[in-house]
Amino acid sequence: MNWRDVKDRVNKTIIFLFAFVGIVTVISLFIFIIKESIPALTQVGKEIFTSIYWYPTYDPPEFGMLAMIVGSLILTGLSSLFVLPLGYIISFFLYNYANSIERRVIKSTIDLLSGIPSVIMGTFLFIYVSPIIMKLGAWSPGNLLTASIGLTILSLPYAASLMEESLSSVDQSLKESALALGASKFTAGFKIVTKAASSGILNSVILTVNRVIGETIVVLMVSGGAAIIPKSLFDPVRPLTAAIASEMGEVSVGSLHYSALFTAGLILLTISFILTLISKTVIGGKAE
Amino acid sequence: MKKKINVDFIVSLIFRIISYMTFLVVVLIIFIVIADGVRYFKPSFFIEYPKKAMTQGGIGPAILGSLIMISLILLFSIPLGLLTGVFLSEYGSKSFIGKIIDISVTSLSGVPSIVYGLFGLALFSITLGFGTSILSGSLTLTIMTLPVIASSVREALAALPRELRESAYALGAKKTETIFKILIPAGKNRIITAILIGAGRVIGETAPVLLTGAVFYSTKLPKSLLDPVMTLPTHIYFITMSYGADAQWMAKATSSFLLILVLVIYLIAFQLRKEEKNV
Repeated sequence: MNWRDVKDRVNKTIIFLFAFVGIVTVISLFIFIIKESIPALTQVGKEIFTSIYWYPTYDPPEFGMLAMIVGSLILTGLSSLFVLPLGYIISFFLYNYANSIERRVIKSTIDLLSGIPSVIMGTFLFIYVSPIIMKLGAWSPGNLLTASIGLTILSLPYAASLMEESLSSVDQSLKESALALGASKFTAGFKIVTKAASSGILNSVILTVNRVIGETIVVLMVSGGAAIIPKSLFDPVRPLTAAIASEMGEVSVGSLHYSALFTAGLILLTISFILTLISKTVIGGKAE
Repeated sequence: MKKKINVDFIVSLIFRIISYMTFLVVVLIIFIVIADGVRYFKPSFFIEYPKKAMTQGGIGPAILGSLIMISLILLFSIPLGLLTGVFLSEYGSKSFIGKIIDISVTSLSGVPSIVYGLFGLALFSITLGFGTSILSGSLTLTIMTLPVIASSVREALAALPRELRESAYALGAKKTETIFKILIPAGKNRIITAILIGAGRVIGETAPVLLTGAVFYSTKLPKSLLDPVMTLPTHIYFITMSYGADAQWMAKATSSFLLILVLVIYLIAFQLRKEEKNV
């Protein structure tokens, strides 16, 4: 065994050790989030999921997260309703109709959009868009509508570029055969290519939804922050992510409130983990 | 036949209009944020402390804080992301352990940033006792950057032709020699692109830093890595949310500066990617 062999072994060991950090991180992520949630889960119990009363600083405090869970879901649903069709339309346009200049310009603009930090989007909405929405009838600068607009803009690059990728990955000859048989470009793209790309598109949907549900800063800045179940687009909401970010600074470590915020994190972590696993199996299914 | 052409005509017209409008909205947002902030730029803005309840002064400490954080993050995450990517590409995601690492990295990419913040708070700030500090914040963001860099490095290496590896082996190179002397240099551009995109994303991260590393206002510069720090994104957040109209100019100007910074990083990354494609 000469010096080069030793070096090779050492390098290999280093690579393996570093790669192992990923596993350790995921495991400790779960351990820490679960560990810190346990006091709230055991002492408050199922009320967390069934009560809408979130008054963590009252005496006695109440830790019902239902309004915030519903808030997260409504926000995610509404934003997905905007962003998924919009993302599909843009990706379909880029795939089917755009000429090469349009493709390049629109694609790189959307790529750039993915770089805009969410805090800047939040500030933009707060300063320029909220006043307009308030003129339309909202009674607080933050509300469901403004937050959904922000989430839509922020997640659009994901939806559009992932969907465009999955459309483009379909074998070109499929589209060409359809066109040769007399189908219009729309039919070929919509009925043939989209169908062939369905697993990729489903995957884009899952990843986009996952991105929306975990977004924090924009909703913290422009969702209004009241932990109520919204009844109109102009009502404020308080999703889980916003609650964690805004309250964590004020709680004392180890208190029940602190633990309850970790429970909110655990809910988010579980959702994102499940969505990621589904997405991973979807891709896996396609590869086979 | 005529009807089909009409369908295409109408659909392409509608889709084109929608895409153009979206494009315009994006350009408009970028333009407004930059233009409305640039007019407050002057040399003192980049050096001074904020003064008089954020109505005067500058963002010197926040710029410094962001630079310190991003340097530390890159210092940690480049080796971590690079070697994880190397492992996934070269030592196989086919083995059992490889599959688990693969799933772990993918899962990490989907975890919401605020959950990373909680994790960083519980692990680095409290359990390890780093407190609210530059170190806690940087380590938390390093973990967030890992999946971004690792998966791009993996793709970059996987895209290299097989002949490259085989020629190296035929010349008697060991596996890690091939990786470090042939493959990584060959995939250099794509790897740097990945690192730049990771950096561009992480420099604007707010939520995890709020929980682990940020202080709103500090009159002195951090003396060690265990001190908290002001950063550009958290500064924007605090001003927008807690100060009135008199301080709004600073939020605008800081947003403008941060956005320019991120866009420059992205444009360099895209330029590298384009060169890569042309070669």
